[in-house]
Amino acid sequence: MRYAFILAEQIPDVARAALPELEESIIQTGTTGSVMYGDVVDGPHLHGILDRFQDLGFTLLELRRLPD
Amino acid sequence: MHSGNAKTTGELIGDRRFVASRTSPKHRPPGLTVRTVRRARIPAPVPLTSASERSSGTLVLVAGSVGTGKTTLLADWSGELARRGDLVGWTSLDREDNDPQVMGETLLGAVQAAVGPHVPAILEDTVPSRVGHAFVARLIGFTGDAPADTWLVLDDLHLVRDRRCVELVELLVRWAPAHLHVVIGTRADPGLHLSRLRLEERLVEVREQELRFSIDDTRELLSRHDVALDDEQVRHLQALTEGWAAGVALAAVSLARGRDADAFLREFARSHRAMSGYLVEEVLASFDESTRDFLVSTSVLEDLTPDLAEAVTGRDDAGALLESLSADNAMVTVDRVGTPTYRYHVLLRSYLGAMLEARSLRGAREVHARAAQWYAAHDVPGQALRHAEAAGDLDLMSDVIQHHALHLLLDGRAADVDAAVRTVDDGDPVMTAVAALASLDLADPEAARVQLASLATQPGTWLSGGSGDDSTIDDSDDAAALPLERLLAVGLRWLSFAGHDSGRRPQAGASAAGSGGHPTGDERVADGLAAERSSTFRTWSVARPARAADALSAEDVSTSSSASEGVPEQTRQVGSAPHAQADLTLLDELTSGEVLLGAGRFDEARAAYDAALGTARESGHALSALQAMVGLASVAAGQEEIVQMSAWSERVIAESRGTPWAMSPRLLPAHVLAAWGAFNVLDDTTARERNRAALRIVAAVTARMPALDAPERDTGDGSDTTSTAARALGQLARLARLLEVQLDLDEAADEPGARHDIAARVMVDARAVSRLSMTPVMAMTELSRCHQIVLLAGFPRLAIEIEQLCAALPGSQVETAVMTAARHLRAGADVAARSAVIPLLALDPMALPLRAAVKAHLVKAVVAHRNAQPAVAHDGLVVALTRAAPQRALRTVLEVAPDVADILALGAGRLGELESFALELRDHGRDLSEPRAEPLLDVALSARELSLLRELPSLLTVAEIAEARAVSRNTVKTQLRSLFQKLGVGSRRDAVAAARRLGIL
Repeated sequence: MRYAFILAEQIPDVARAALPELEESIIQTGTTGSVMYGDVVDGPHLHGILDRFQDLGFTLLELRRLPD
Repeated sequence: MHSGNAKTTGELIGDRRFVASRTSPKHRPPGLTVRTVRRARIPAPVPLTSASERSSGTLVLVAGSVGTGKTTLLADWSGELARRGDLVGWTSLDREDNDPQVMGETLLGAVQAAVGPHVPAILEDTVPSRVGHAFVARLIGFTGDAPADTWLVLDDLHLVRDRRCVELVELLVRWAPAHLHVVIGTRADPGLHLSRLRLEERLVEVREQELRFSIDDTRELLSRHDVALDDEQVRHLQALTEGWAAGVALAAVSLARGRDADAFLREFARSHRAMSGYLVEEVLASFDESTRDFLVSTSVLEDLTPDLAEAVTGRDDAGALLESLSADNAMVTVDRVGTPTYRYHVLLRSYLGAMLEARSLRGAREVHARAAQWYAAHDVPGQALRHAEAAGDLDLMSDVIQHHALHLLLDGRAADVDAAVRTVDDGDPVMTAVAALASLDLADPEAARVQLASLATQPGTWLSGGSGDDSTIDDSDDAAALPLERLLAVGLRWLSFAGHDSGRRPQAGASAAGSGGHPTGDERVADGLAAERSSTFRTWSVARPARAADALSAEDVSTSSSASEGVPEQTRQVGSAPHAQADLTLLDELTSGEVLLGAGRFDEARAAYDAALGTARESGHALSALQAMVGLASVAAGQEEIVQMSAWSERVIAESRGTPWAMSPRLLPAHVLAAWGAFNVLDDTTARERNRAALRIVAAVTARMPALDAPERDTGDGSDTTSTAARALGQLARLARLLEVQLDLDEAADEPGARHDIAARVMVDARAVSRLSMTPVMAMTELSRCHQIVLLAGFPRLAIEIEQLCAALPGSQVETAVMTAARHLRAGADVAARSAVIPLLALDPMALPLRAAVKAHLVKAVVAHRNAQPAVAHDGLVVALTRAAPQRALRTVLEVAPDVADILALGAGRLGELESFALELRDHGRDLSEPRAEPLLDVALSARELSLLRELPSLLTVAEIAEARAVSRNTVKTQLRSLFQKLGVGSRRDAVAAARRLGIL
């Protein structure tokens, strides 16, 4: 399963390592936020990622499953 | 009405009176410092009247993202509530709480912290082996005895995901009465049926919107960091941080460290990066390089002590550094009770952790590995395993398991070991053996059998010679590692008494294997079981003079228990865990004890348990020491050494009090034996109390049994698949029930209806005894007690039935003779009583079992007394007392017949050394209330007959009764005939009269 996460802010470089399974979209969206995407194994993995966003103080705006 | 606006206080805000000194860090709110802002707009909660009116407590939900100041707010409230005179129980939940048992302990700890000083009973309370509705109800019950409203604060509830654990909180909230309130801090709304609570108007919500810092809050926080900004700057900062508490705090730290305010705000505003990341980087940038390194490498640890930080970072100023960080950085908190323990705010830790990962994967792993080693060296094997796993270092994990697995097992943490071994899964034989031991400890003997069998089939590992006991090839170069051969020996021995009896089909399998040349793993295990049993017998019977000498000096039941506690933590060497050998020895000794006890080799079993107790004390394994003492009590019971039995079991109960094992099924024998011991010396109150505890454990265990059994039903043969352990449990359960019946009988002596009921209860167990008991000796013990009870209750015909049951057991002549004599004696048939015991009187009383010897000679004495032969009576008394006095068998002596008291009175002054015992008997003889002697009803009525009896006084005809019961008329007539016969009457009216006279109507 691939998911896209749209966040309200840009991911600081320092936080990238906390999310090694996600890549950041390089397409400029014109907003201040960022789009991360990556493979998600299962439900617990997904919620683990969401927890890490919380731990790092990010605001999740949108979450969407991508067609495989 | 509450003064949440008291803004200025001294050094340490927060009243700590409500924190009992014995509470664990988990139940202490984090200390608030001078830098903490107190939220004037969010005062401490008060119980909702809408909730109180429906006799319910209030739920306060504080929900907000990371860094919104939830914990600080809750800590502040706790102080406020305590000042108000309410009771507060704080809990910082963590991931470990996802186990119902752990969660149970946590909740109990919270309630203890709150009401402990007022309800001392709760400090003795322990978590039952099944945490559920009853447990929650009990917790709530404790708060009912408290003098003020009780607030349970559960911080970080979002970390608890396990459904069963959340349900405990749910029950607590749902059932909370008007004096109990729950305050929850969480990042995610919990599944607590919030909407229902909202409808019931029992819910107070403080959500992100309310948690945002106002301009005033922002200004106050800055001033507490001694940062002076003008109004415009404060407003700007408040807007930029959107009132996010951690953001303001981080900004304040940066500014306090000399950052120019305008420049800071300008850059902050321009930054498109996440605010948290920006601010954390800002703060970190204000530290020097080495401090940053320190923070980064310690971020893997949730709780930091100076010592641990030093070991992980190699800096000898770690303590001082942590201290200065906590002094000026709001992101580091400290708990100062005992060794100072520091903790980074989760936000800071997350970033630090990410930085550590970013530097190099190896760096993070190295830190984890160093932490694992530190924990291993400090005997915190649970944490050691976790960090070893995080280090991704399977070698290190396996090392930790090899050195500490037994330690964990002996401390009752088999589940952790089991999980770790699964993770490593390297096929190492030692690991597999450890896994088998863990399975055994988790009461899964079949899994253990499979694991041991898989070992047996590995080429060149084990039992190639066939008998595993003397072919020890210790190729291990590490002296502290576990030697496989001994592990296997222990595992097999354990399996031999924990496994299913049906699994012991060794002979046929073994011989087939011998001819076939390729024995399967199962057959080898079976061989090994047999070999291990015989080797155990050999080892402990002859070849251990040194061990036996040790055992004598090891410990005496009379020595104080506290002497050997608590020492080992300091004496253990750091590093290579030299106690691995001691742990193995301990397990070896304990399992040997079990096997020997099961085989009835009491002297050897005593030596093994003695040795185990010594080893357990030395290495500080409290649970194992308790188990060894349980073993010693059981051995004493087996040898009829009642004084020793009581002493050991009472000591187990005393030492286990307040530990997690107080109600452990492993200690069940101690409760049962202590109850019988107290009963023996006519201390019915203690007996009742101990017996209740025993019955509670039995209930808890049997409730869990089906779940344990279900997955093991694959053995197929279906015959007798109960394990020895399960049978032992059944035996103990019956003993406890029997004692309860007897105590009920003593209390209900004058209620014939109750006696009837009691006889029925006894007979159910008595009829099953020969089928279910472990050994004929134990069966006879039980039957003898049943016999005594039905005699006392006045049912001689049932007594005859028990005598017949007993006579069917092998080697029961002595016991049966004593029973027969007791029955005749009670009926006044002196000649018959005496002739029943004549064969016994010819034997040496010291060679007979205690109970038989005492009773036989007392029967002789009573008969002589009744027939005016005082000299013969006195002789009998002296022999009986000589045998009974050393074991203080008060009840055994007195319950033979009421006449014993008369003989004692006559013999006063002529008993020499026995005089003091006789005096004690005379004192107690008066208390021992004897139920009325004349038999009331010779035969127990069946349940149908009893219910029919109740219909008789009515005007219903037989036909009507039959119709009402949906049976034929003839059935009712048959039952009536049988009823009349038992009551010795001829008509319905006489039957009613007789029943009324007997008190059963």
